[in-house]
Amino acid sequence: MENSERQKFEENWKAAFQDAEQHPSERVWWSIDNALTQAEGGTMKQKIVFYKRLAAASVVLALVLAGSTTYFINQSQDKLTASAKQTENETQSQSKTATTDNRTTITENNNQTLPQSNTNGSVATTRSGLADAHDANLITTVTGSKAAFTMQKENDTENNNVFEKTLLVSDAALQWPGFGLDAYDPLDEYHDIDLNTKGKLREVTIVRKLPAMPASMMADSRRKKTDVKENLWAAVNASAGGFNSYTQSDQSARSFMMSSQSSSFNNLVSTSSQAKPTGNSYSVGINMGARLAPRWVLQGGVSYLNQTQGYTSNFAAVGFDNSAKAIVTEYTTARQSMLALTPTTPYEINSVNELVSVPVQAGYMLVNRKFGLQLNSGVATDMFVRNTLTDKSGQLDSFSESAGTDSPYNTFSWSALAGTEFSYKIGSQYRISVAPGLRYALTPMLKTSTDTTPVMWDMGFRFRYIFK
Amino acid sequence: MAERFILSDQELIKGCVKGERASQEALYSRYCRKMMVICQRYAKSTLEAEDILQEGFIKVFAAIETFRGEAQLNTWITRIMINTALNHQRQKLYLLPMVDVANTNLHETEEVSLADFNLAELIAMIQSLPDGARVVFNLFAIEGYNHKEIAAMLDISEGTSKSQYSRAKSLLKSKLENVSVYGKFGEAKI
Repeated sequence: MENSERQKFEENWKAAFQDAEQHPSERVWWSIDNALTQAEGGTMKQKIVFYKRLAAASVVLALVLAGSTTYFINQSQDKLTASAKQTENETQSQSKTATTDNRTTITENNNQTLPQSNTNGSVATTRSGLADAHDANLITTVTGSKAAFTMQKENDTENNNVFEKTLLVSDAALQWPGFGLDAYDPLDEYHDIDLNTKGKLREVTIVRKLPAMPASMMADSRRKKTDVKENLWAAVNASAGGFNSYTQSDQSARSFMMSSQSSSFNNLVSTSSQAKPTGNSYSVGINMGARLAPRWVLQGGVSYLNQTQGYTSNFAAVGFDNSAKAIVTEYTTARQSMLALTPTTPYEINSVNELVSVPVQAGYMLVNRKFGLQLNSGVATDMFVRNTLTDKSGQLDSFSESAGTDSPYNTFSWSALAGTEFSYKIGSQYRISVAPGLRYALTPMLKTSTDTTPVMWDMGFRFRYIFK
Repeated sequence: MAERFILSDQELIKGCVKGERASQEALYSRYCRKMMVICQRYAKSTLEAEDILQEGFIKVFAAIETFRGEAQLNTWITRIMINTALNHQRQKLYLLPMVDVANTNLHETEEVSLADFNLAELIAMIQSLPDGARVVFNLFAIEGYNHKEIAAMLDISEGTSKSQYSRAKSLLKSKLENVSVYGKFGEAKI
């Protein structure tokens, strides 16, 4: 009896509190909120350290890129200067050989870059077997992929200058096979300096403090933020930047023999076109993005890509209507049998590549607040549309090539994309961003060159509309 | 602080694990009222109950990563609240150790229905109990622990637990009778 009464007693009390609820006062949540905020102080410190390291890494990367680019541009410009003077001297040599029988100019071929000088007399020697077979009037030109040397009589003072300059370029290339592996470190002498701070190092504790605000208001503000979730958006984007040459630097000065009269060596003329080491590019496009996970997004779109590169050429193509068109070596190597060429004085060419690019990128949002920081990586399918060669002086007609089987350009090529996006949210449905990025060609654009993979760098601007 | 979005417990847990304040607030809003009653039962006053509630929820958010879903979230939070409340009471119990009290004869009394009382009155009755008796009563009668488990939890003997419970029960019965008899005339003092 007593036992059953006890059970009943307990059951009654248990039932009385079964679904009982009582509102605590608002101060409880405020206190919890403050406590959680203070607890986040430690996490915030870790985050600050992470962002500091990220910023430092970005600065280092930017410095490395800037240094490499400067070194690359300087080296290419030196080569271009040397090559231009070399071509000029070759022309002079031709005129001299036409009148002087005693002088013999022999050049080295087959990528043999080691110069050999003849100290005995007035004639330089060569490894080329062809040189021995011809008489003193023969002129051969340098076609190697590396810097080659023209060796001429030592008493020819003008040509000696060329030799010395060319040798300097070669020496630099031999001495620095990579990007400054043996480079001089200007800070080397400071490495052993002992940095003693005068004061005592103190650990700084950073505590994020939020203003006290009624929880109901906080809930309202959160509600406003979460009204429009950034799950789907459309954007327009534009970017501008540069790229290194589609023709490798050591192949930028291509040349070959051309004769206006068949079976006559006397009328052979050296022709070449040299690409500038870097070009300019811009693109405009639209894209869509969707959030796949809280921090992962997928972006894709379509954009028009325009790449402009400068050339110097000393020959032109002759059309069926006898009009002279601007042309570069890349075309002639692909269509040598189809084009009639004629030598000209050196002239400047603008080469414009137009492409339609379809990029697909995955993005990881490091920071996703009013200010956003996103890392992007992906691939782009580039569809070649047209290349137009234009004589800057306007004397020659433009030459245009579109995609196709007989085009020197591949119709499709692929590029790897990487970049960051710094964004700022405006209102609830707009976000603007700047996006520095890199584009590395995975497949060559030119059919004739299989090892040219240009790198393109640009700074983009995006305007994003966020769908509700 | 009304809950504006209906999210499942799992979604709230995920948000809390990430440290999202909105999820933490939503979780608090969902369970704070129920937990407040538990805290009030163990505490001597509403102020103390809110302190326990605050401490308990901070523990919940700190340990939410360890929640594996083996039990219901409600049960898991309740257990944390009870442990927090016991820690609060242990300090008092250490100062005023529980000892065996004289067995109270549970004389036959007229059955009084708890349905006649509102929640505030019932809580007030429990809060009026001595600390030791209140804790044991909560653990035994409402939470459902047996005396052996209570003895282990509070580091007391099983006999002490039983005697404390008897005392609590006796006191509550007399309070219930007093209120039911004199309450109508407004003279009852809980």
